[in-house]
Amino acid sequence: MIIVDSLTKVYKTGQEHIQALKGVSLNIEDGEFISVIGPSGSGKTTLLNLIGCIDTLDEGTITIDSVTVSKLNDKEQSDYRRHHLGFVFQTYNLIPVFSAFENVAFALHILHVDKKEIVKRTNQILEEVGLKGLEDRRPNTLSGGQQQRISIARALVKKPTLVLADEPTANLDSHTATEIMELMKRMNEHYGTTFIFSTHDPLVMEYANRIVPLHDGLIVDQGVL
Amino acid sequence: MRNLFLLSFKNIFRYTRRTIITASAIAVGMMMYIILDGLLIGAEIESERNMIQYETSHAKIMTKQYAENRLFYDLEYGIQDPDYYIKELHDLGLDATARLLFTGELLFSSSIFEEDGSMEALITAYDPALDATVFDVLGTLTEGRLPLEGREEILLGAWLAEDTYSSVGSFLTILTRGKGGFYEVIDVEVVGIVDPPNPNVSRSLVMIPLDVAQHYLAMEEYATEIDLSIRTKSQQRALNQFQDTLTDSSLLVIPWNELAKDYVALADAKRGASSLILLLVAIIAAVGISNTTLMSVQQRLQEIGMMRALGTKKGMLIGMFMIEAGLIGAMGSLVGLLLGGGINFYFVHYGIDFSSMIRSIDIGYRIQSTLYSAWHPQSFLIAFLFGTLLCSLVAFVATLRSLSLSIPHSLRRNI
Repeated sequence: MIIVDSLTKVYKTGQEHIQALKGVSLNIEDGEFISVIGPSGSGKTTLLNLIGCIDTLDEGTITIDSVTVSKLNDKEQSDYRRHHLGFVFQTYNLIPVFSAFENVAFALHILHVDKKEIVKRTNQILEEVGLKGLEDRRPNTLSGGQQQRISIARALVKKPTLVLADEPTANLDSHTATEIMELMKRMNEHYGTTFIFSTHDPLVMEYANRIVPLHDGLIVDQGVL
Repeated sequence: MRNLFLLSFKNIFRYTRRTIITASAIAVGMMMYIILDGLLIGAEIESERNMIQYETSHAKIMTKQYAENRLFYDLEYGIQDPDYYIKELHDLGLDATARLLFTGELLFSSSIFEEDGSMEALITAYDPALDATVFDVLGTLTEGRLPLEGREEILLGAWLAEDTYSSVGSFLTILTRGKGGFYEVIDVEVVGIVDPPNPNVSRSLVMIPLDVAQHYLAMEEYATEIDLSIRTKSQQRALNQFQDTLTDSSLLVIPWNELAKDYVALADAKRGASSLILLLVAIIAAVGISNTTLMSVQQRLQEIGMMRALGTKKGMLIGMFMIEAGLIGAMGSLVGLLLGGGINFYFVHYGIDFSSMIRSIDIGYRIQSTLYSAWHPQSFLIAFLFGTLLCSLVAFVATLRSLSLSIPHSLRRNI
């Protein structure tokens, strides 16, 4: 279970102070498939970054499975991310010199998983995301949808507690976006992994079993948006 | 770790042009280092050889008083009965010869009736029978013949002869002072020209038979020094044995490097200056590497952000970039060493002809015409390690800087 309590985040740019989150509280049950929605600048990415321990908060706490991750130091947060969190990025962020297989396996390599186990698990997840036969292809030889599938496979291969996806379909056409959302939903159901993704695409929102609407750094009623 | 190496290796070929530029900067730096280092070592080796064989010998025996004031060439402090010591040294297996050095004014004339000028000179009186066992000067005779014992005949260095318009058959007069301070004039004929590869010797050498000098200077049974040839370890041991048994405590054995302190100091200074040049080469290479490495890291900030988000340890990221830069450095160094080695090979075998430069100026090194390079395997190792480590170090700094950015900041960067 994830407990987000009174999160506040202020960005300081010179003299200007921008309050990205103004005391956001949220409880997420294990296995939920949550969509954080809202216009640009509403704080969606900031919320995901804070839950994902890749940014520092100013006030509040985040607890994941009884671990107050917001209080961990830099190294401990890095360890936590490595073992328990998966990320899917809008721009896929794959390593261009690695093949699809190597990109996915990278997440296991940094966990020092046994080589045989890496091969087994990587092949298995690539098959599940529909990339069997494309293991040796480099990202630049694949479509956007296929690259995002690699990204999802990389996030899931280590069997994380939580996957955070920041606008995973923003760079994809509607057909491919639907395919990716169906894939993520299937993975969520298959592995029981909690998914939190941000979007402002109504088509994508439909797949969520809960929607968290954000506006100006606060959780609001969906009707407000 | 294997994955880290794999990624680093693949990244080398990711930006081929940049890799080539960085490796080239290293290669040029290392090539220059190898060439310069080889030439300097070659110059030192040849200078040392030419000093010992034509100027100082391996060691000299002098009286203590003479040694203390040896730049005055005072005949009052000569070695009495040098043949006694030479025989003793021969018995121990050492080659030795007596020399008598004295200063004088040389009055040159192209014919006996026409005076052409004068100059101060250091004149070397040598033993025609034994000198060649220690020095190689007599072997470089290019014109005429060697002076005969008991005859007022001299040998001149080739450059000195050229500078004073002297040739075989010319006459000159030596105006000097004998033991006790009396004036003496020796009329001599130039019978031979020697051309040793030591420019200092060629520029100033005047040699006269020992018995002639002893007679004119009232130095019968005296020499100012005994020169020794020590080519083997057993000869060095023999010399030590000689020193131990030396009953005359007024005699000193002085090794060549002590006699040539000015040269040794000069060589040290040149080595220091050369190190400075090498440092400059290294700085130029480092600036080139810094730019390309910094660009490489900056261009991959988003990738670094992604890896950090996945939980990659900072040490692993730093290691990845250091290995990548180190591999580029190693490649560049290797190319530089091959190029430098190739050019050095040419210089070792064919050398560089410096004769026109050395003829007019004294560069301190005892090389007359062709400077031959030398092999110095240690420099190859140093250059390789330096090139590799320098690149890794620059990558370390650049990566550390990139890691100071927050992960969201890195992820937003898209150059």
